[in-house]
Amino acid sequence: MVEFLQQMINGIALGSIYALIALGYTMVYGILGLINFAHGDIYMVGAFAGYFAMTLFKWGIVPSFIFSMLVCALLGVSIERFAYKPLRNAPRIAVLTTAIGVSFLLENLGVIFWTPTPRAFPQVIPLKIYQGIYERFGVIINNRQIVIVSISIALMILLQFIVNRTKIGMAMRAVSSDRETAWMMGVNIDHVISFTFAIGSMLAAAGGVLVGIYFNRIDPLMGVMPGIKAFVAAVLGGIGIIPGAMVGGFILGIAEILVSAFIASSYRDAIAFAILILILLVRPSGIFGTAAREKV
Amino acid sequence: MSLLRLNDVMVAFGGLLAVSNFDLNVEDRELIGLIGPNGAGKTTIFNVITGFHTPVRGSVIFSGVDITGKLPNYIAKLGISRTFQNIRLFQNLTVLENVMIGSQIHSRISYIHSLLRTSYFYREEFKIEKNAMKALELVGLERLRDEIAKNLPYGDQRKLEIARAIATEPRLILLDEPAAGMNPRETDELMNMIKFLRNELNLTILLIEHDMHVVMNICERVIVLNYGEIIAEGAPDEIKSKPEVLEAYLGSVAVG
Repeated sequence: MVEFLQQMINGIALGSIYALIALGYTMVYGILGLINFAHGDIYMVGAFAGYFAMTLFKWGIVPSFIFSMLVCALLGVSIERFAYKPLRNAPRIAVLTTAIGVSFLLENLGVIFWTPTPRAFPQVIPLKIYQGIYERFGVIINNRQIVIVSISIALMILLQFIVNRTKIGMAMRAVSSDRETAWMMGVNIDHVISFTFAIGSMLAAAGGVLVGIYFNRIDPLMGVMPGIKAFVAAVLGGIGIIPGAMVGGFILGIAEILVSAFIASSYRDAIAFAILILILLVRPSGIFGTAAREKV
Repeated sequence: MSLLRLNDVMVAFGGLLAVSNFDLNVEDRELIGLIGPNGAGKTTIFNVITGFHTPVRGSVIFSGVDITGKLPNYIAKLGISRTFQNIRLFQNLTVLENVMIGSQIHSRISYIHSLLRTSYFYREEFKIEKNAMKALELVGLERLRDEIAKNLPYGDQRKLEIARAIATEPRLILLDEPAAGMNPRETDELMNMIKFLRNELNLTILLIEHDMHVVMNICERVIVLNYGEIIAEGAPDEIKSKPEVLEAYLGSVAVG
């Protein structure tokens, strides 16, 4: 039981990061109907931006965090502007292929400029284990886990606020519901799309920096697996549905940790694909999705 | 003064000619009916005026500005709004939010303001909501403001579309089959509302409608389209008896 509880805690910490990345996938899908396969690599760039802010500029954690988010916002908006926007009226498969191309581009630029060798992320938050909790409950919780989960949840609450309580959020929901009508009602859909990419990329950047803090190592291909897993999380929750991505992210993180703890750690990546296959067979629209509604 | 002018407009989809040789001149505060069999090109005309389709030939001039090929959001800001034949509300937004999407059109509020919540933002926000409520009151939906749009009964959804269109403060409003699916009582309400829009709000109205009772009672001028071309034009009473109109609607059998 204690062991299970311990793994749940680890799973929630990992899941909160998947949730942050999954949100970007789901928001972009909601607005454009596009799976932005470059999203996992934006997360990677976020981790590197944070790394360089801390090591080169010797900035503290908060400015590095903000710097990383701004860099990725700019990157996400530029990718949309230069790679996806010219294809907005092209067949979906063209945009999808482009997204995969952008993903390879970012990964390989990373390999060229930053070398494929993993780097140690600065230990900006000294590790602290809460001894009292360990003595009473037998589970180990460290301060990094608490930082990761609380920052993630704070960002998700902020996102919910933006989407549901602000004008731009309202415009995002309108564009997601019916882009053409929103356009004819005077909504500047280019702004809305750019904004969506900016917000989604900022969340991914936050995820990148948090992962750096948590696992202490980053490399140019670190976005590949988490990108795929976060995509599965978004599908699991119901792609295009924001709370679905959050729930899906946590489920996936917890499932991965439980599988590697109680079955075999070599299955930790396989579980994501098993979940994807299962959800596509049983409930393709996802946990929160309504069945068979083709959204364009 | 002429408010809207379409000159020799031609629209084609691939090899299919949807509209051709289309000329239209709409005076300020006119109420014009656009009728014709299904597939005659009526909605295509609306799509051209709102910038959703670009004509392959011809031009669209609105209040002195050439809007041919301009983007829909720009055209909407200039003062043209519309409703849709197959209702197109923002399904998961509330009634009020649907209308606020329309009423935020003239707000100069930037997304930065909206995120930073400046005092300017609150003033603008208040104005947007007030205008939206005014539009809702006009169609009598103010009590349903927090309802999710897709849960409204059919007739109310049609009214909500009109409210959303009015909220953009247009000078010209294009109504695409607003009476479709309405019962006689709702249709009467609708006719009063359209008259109100014209007489009290001074809007210019272009109306596509299959319900002849509506067209004949409220329109001053009727344009009949068939196969993408104008086949007749005139006052409702003149139109009714024209043989080419009867033929388009009923086939070439003379009706006694």
